[in-house]
Amino acid sequence: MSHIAFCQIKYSSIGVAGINYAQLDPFAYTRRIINSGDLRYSWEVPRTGYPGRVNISSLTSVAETTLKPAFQHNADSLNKNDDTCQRQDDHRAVGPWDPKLSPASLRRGLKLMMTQRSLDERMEAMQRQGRLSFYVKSSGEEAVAIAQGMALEDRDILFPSYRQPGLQLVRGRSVVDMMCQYITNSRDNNKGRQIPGHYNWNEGNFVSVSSPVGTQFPQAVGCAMASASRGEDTVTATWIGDGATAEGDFHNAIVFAAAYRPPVILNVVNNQWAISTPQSFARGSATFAARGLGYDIPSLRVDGNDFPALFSVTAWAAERARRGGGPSLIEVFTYRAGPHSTSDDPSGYRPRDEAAHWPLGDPIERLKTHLIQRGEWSQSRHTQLQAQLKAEMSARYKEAESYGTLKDGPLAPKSTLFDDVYKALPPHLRKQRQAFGY
Amino acid sequence: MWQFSAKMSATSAASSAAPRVCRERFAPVTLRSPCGGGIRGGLWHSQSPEAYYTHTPGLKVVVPSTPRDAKGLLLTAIEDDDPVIFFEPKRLYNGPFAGDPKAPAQKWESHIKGQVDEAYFTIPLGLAETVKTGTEVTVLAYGTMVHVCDAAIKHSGIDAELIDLRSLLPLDLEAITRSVCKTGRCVVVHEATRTSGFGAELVAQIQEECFYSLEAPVLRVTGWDTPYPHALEWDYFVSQERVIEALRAVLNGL
Repeated sequence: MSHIAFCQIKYSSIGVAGINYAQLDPFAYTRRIINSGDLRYSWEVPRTGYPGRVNISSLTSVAETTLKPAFQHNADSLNKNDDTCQRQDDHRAVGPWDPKLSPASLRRGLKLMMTQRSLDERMEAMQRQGRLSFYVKSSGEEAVAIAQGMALEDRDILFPSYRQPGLQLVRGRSVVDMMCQYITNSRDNNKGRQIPGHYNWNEGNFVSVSSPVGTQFPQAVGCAMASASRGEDTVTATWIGDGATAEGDFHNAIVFAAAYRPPVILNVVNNQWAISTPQSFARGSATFAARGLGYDIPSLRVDGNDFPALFSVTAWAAERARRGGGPSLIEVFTYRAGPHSTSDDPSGYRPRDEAAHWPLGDPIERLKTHLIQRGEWSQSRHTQLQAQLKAEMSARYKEAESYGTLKDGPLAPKSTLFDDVYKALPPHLRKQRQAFGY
Repeated sequence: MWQFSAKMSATSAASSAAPRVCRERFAPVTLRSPCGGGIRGGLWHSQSPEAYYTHTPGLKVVVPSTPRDAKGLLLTAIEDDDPVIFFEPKRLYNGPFAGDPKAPAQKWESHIKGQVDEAYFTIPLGLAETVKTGTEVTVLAYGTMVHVCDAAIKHSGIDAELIDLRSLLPLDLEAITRSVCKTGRCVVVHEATRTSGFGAELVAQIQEECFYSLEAPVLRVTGWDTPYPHALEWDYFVSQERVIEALRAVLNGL
């Protein structure tokens, strides 16, 4: 009977101009990496001229000396995509997945990605100075949160992992509030209870990050089932890492998604590394998208450093879900350019310069080049914006610390320690709070 | 203890396996798990969930408080024919910790049980250790709290007897009752939350075994019944002051 309930979802037109999604067959894209045209690379023969690119075969040979198992798998999975990878050097967006976003939207996306990077740089510096206990950067993956977030409606519900804080920037959250969560000071909306980086933002429909990896996946499917049973046209989107797909939670989620067909977008962010474990360990010999197909869920792979392509597939999945078409799985193929967190040193398990050689490049550089090619951006505007963001983050951090530091406070008032465990304070907690002195 | 759901399913698999096959086959598995707070780990990395496991028939639960005990107990656990949950207090990995975050960090090198013999040795499960003998009151603790209580007793000047339980299941009830019947007073200390914590089980057994020897109600000093906080960690973590307060209360009347 659940199927009947889900069929009642109202159609809401959010179509992206210029795309006839009905003509696109997701099954055809599972093994191929979708990109928007300007950013199509040949894995085997990148030829010349594009900064920072190397031949995948040279990447493999570099890796063979140190990290043979990981990179053999990587190269193997990439070579399967030969048929789609026709490189074009003019940086134009072409092809069926070009979302035809306006220059203003693309510039907004660029600015938000640059904001995330600038925020990360400031926060990492503060962690190095001992002002934060811990930090997680989004380096190299900024497009994931920003492009996918922009392709969703504000009412859509987000169940992110710890590497999509940028979803909050898309929805206009104050950077100071985000910093205060990290410092866990008096302005932290989590009242200092969560670990730094485990953002939670009700107004933005951004559900709290949790440390156990993968738990957000079944939660998101359940949330989408609730939306559907209430007849709402809200879509739920969730993100999981490549490593966590080897958790039971991933499969619990996906089997419910396959059975009940709720309006959910299941994103597997394949950033190549589960802390120090290469993605091939969890993936086995297929793609992560193929995991979805095994459950009869339409599944795609997308170049996660290609802003327009990422926007496009997410908009496709959202529209499909809103029409009552059910779940989709998107494998977002990207690269974690920084360490897992400030507690990690990747030089112990991968070549130091690997990030610079990632064949799909840097998402910010790529969007910048695309906009410049269209005459909608320039290097001088870019440099100016970078400087402006750097100064802004510095000022915002000072403002955030005016609400307290972890070392010297003020933190959440001690009297709040017993709040929110239950909706109303029960007698046994009242007694404990009195013993605590409040 | 952040992979709680995974461990719950692993342990339910382990604990149900043995009885289901009528003990024709055993599940001689040992699951090591970090536990406890004092490391700025916030609510996901600081829990003390031992009572979930003592509440599951078929499991044994061990919590060492020193490197020497950890080795001896771990070898016994691995050799044991039953499933054993082996909790390792995170705060103790690098040294003993008496509960004061501002005090200089201690190293195991200077601790009497920080030296571990490289040769094979085992410590039986279900054998508590009397860390300090005393006559006025018995203090029951395990894991990090053994060190907090030891320091608290020293600072209080009270002649307390401190017992490190080391394993919760099997429980060394004999050592507990012998001590409590001698002192007539008892304080139970654990990091875990209070309601349905392992302290409740200890208090129940003590009143069954030692009722006519008790001079005062048995008190518990525990973590509060809230999620483990990040910012207010040191308001949550059981301090020496709270232990001393409880010792004075059982001695002087409530």
